[in-house]
Amino acid sequence: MTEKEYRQHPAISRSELWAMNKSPEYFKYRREHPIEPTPAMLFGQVAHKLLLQPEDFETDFILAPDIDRRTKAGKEAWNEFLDAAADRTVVPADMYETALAMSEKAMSEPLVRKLLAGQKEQPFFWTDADTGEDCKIRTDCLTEIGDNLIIVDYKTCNDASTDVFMREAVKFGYEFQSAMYSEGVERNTGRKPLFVFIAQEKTEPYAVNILQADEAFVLRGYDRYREFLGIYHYCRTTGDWYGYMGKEKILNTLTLPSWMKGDNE
Amino acid sequence: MNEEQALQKQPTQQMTAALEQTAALSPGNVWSDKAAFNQALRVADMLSKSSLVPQNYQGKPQDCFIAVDMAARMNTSPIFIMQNLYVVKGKPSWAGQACKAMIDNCGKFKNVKHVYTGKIGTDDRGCYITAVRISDGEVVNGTEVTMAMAKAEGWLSNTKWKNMPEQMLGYRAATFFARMHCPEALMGLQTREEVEDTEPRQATAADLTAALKGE
Repeated sequence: MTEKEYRQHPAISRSELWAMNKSPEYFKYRREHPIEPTPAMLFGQVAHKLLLQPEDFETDFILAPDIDRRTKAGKEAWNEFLDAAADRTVVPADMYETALAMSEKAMSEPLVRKLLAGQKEQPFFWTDADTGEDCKIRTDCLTEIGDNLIIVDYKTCNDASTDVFMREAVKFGYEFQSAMYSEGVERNTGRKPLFVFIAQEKTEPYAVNILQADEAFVLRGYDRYREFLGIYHYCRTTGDWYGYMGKEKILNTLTLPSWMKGDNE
Repeated sequence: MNEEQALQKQPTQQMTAALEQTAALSPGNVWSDKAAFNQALRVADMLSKSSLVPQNYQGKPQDCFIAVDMAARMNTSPIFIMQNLYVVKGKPSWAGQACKAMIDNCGKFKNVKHVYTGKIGTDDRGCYITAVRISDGEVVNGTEVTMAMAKAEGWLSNTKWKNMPEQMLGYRAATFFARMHCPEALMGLQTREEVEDTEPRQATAADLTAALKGE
């Protein structure tokens, strides 16, 4: 299955379902208006490709040539390049250099090489038993180590230190991801997988950290996965894609954050 | 006695007083009798401040209260409860060795013994509990647990079954006996081994590091 076929499959994906973290209204908007990849998102895609499947890089991406587009000849040469690129995504040279240096640094770590020795970019599909909703995931890498089946997920970040990555992980819903992916793999293989993040900083020295999601992390993610899927099912079957005021359209209370509450007591 | 010695002695005296008070609590009434409730609360509060109770109960009067109540119901000491009750996978669970003690203490049986069968190291190796029922003098046997059963049930994914099968057979035999002949002794809780066997412990980051390094 190609990346395009996977993306066009109508089952719900992790990144789509995560939009429920804001509201069903936002979820619906995002589904109808997919985000145009920002440079940061493109960088993530390039770094993934170079680390996981460098041999396929040229199938999806093409390196921007060094052309001065201010001249007439340059403009023509650029247009020719774009025609030749067809539906491949153009990658600026400096972005490519950085992503390549990152992948080389990551692969110099023996534990990373072992974790990434498995099956790359494997899609999984399943129907949720409680809601009947179709779900899909695509694991960066699925690796067998001893008796353990491990889902390996690569994240580029600004700070890969354990404490900072933990906070970012909760903010960006990585616990939700670990649970949804584990569910998908377990439904398809009948085995309970472990979930490991390879986190790498986007600036030199491109430091790498490997973190295993513990049970509490995945359990919390599982609660959120069930919650979001339940909301999605409700919205899809009722057509009510409600916003911040909820199904019942009720006013919310504005109070102080919990860490400030003690001040007036 | 100087002041320091007096301070050191204090927890022991408090503990003794707590145990005496617990013995006076009769089963069930801490939840309905206000005086009994308040007394158990004081005992729990005191126990939670002791450095002699297991660490996971220190500073937790709520958990100590549950232990005090369970001890009163089971006619045993709160310390026994605290030392043998673990939270495994979010569920309170008895230590395997406590199960045999609970059969001994429940008052229904005497001469409670483990009987091992089959050849050690084979699938036929098994264990059951035999005991004499006090009410009618009948010999009562628990269900036999064998290695073949452990394999078929998938318990072997818990590494303890590979590393110390004899011990695990013994624990499981006691649990089976209690479930069959004196279920009330376990107060509806599972044993630690039951919980770990049916929901094996997830490999930790340390386990995974060892596996990756091929140790």
